Amino acid sequence: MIARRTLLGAAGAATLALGMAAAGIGTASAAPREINFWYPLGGAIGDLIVKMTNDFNASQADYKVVPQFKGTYDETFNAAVAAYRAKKHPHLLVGIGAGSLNLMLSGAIYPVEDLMKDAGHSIDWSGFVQPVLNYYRTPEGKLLSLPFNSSTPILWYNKDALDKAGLKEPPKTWDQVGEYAAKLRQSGFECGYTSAWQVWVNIDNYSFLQDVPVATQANGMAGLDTEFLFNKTRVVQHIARIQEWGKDGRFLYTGRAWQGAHGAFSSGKCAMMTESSAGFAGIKQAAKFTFAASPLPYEKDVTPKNSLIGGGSIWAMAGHPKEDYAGVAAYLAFLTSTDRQVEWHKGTGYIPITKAAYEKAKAEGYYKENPHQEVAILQLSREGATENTKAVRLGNYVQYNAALEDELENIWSNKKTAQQGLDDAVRRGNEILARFAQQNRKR
Amino acid sequence: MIGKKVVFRSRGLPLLLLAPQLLVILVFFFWPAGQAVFQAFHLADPFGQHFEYVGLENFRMLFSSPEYYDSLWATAVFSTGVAAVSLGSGLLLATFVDHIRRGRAVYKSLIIWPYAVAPVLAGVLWLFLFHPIYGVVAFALARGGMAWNPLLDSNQAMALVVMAAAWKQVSYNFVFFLAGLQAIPRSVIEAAAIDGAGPMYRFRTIILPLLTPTTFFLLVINLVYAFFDTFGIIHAVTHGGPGGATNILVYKVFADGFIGQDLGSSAAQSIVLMVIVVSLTVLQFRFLERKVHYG
Repeated sequence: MIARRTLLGAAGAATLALGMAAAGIGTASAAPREINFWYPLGGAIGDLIVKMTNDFNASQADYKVVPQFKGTYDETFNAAVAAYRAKKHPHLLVGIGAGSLNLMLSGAIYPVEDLMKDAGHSIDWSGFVQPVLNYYRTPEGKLLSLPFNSSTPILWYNKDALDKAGLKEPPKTWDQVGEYAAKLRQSGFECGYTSAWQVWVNIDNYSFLQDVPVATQANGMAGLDTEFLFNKTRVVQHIARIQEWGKDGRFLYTGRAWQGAHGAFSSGKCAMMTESSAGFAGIKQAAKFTFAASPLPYEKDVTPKNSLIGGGSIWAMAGHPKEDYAGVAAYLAFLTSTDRQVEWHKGTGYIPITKAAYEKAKAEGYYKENPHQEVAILQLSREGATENTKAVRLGNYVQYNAALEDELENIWSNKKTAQQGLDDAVRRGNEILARFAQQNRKR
Repeated sequence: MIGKKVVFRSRGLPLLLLAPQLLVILVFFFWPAGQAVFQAFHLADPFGQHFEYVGLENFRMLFSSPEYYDSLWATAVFSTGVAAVSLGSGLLLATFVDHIRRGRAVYKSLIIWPYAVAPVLAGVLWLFLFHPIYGVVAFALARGGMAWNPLLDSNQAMALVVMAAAWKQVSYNFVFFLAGLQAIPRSVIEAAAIDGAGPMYRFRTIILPLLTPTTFFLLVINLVYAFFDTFGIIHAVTHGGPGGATNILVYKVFADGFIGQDLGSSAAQSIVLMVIVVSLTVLQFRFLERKVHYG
């Protein structure tokens, strides 16, 4: 009995010691507080995150930010969810922009605007690029997460290939993309056009440029009871057109996400590719030809609206000691500083999120040398945004996106017509949206 | 009275001896299974903030979705394919190795290797060989004039995941078949040979019947493998595409639950899957086992 009591006592003491260590009581102040930062960006982009974080750690002694690559967006998010349930979640998390609503309503986050204010950082949010910021604001205007890796799709093209086919200018309209693709095929290229992120490019962004809704409730910005609408808009003809191109090789389907499209473009198989502006780092590494970029094509009878933001943002997760958040705020302030934004923009192809950073890059003459790096910025900041072109804010993104990818594949393989496929996509998507609304109706 | 019957005087001792095993089963099987049953009747958000009883709603949603029936069909095709290919190749390789005199250990080791590869890695490996854009074998196929595109061709996609999943299981089947073959008395085969039975005839009338216990055991194991352990391969190779053609039940459980974070639906699906596999196994034992010779 005595032995047992001693054991219990020892265990208790150990627990207490651990608890004190965790709370920072009784430990010397020499060790910096650790801030955990999980992100889903590998390769050259991930290297830059590590580099910038090391710079931050070297610039002060109070905090040490530990960056960790956690796989794809889905894997990173799921790791954070599991960690949150086990109370071992990171302080900072990069989440995919399209999946924002799930995080917004999760109750697991610390709104960035509050965080910066509570930590005593006065940030002039008006100096940020507003369309980007608005994407992450509540309807009341509070900023919930910090835009970090923001991009938008543009048309990347193989300039050597276009020259060879006698095409001087990049295509402006979608009909021209078809004509160009046919000419490229004649000049010996296997495929004219392919796309990365097909749902984002050919459903979401197509709707934005043509000023038609993707879903009800202003694409979900006005309420939770949403339904998809893209089976009743011009999207149907657009998808039907690409389906036609697929039958004779003008279009080649290269799979979901971006890997296949990049492979086909960078190897010279496909001469045109719609892909994120942040595809830049990868294309630059792999392509052995002159490449360039132009704005996303549109229909000849419209004046195109702004495109939709993609990529992700940094979320601060709730539930850490107050002292940690001071470090979190310092790190975020560091990342948004003009010099860091310029470095980030140049290294990745993500757009700068502050106006000052954009002006600085411009003043340096960066866009004269790299005109494709400005295409995305200009395309995002077109005047005259409408309800249809602010954002897409829908729940259960991962699930509905998978359903939409499924149905697009059924169209490309000619199992379904464009209308049938999109009808099925909307039916399946709506069930997923309804489930999310049911889950969150009390908020 | 055949054999000896051990009698415990008290009830306590046998229970005590069984306790460790029972505890393991309780903690690692019944507890999670119970949680799955509980979740199947609820709608919950991933962060654990919201929890709501929804009755049979999760099941109703499944059975009213045409995609779920497609998934059932894909599962039937997939698991039959995997079992057939991996049992067939396992038996073929085992028969060859059984006849080899030199270097048998080398062949054995090499054939057993793939079993050590994790399903996801196996998937990635096959993807790098057969992806139509950057796959080495795909490139050769295209050169040879074959229209190879598992990104859009459902049958090719299915063939690819079946091959990848079966490849990993061949090793396992090989080991058991080889052991089974070596347990067959040489004298029986030699007697048949002296009576004039050719190799194929001997194989059909002597070896196969004597292998039925092994085959039956492997059939059950392979089906369970195809039904439960293959989501990593699907995830790496096709993500269930094109258009849901390789979206087998267990991948759907994984994708909806662990990627899409819809725990309620995922739990309901796992219960349906469990019921299917248990009934299949019972059926196998009731009808197929009668044909098994235990020697």
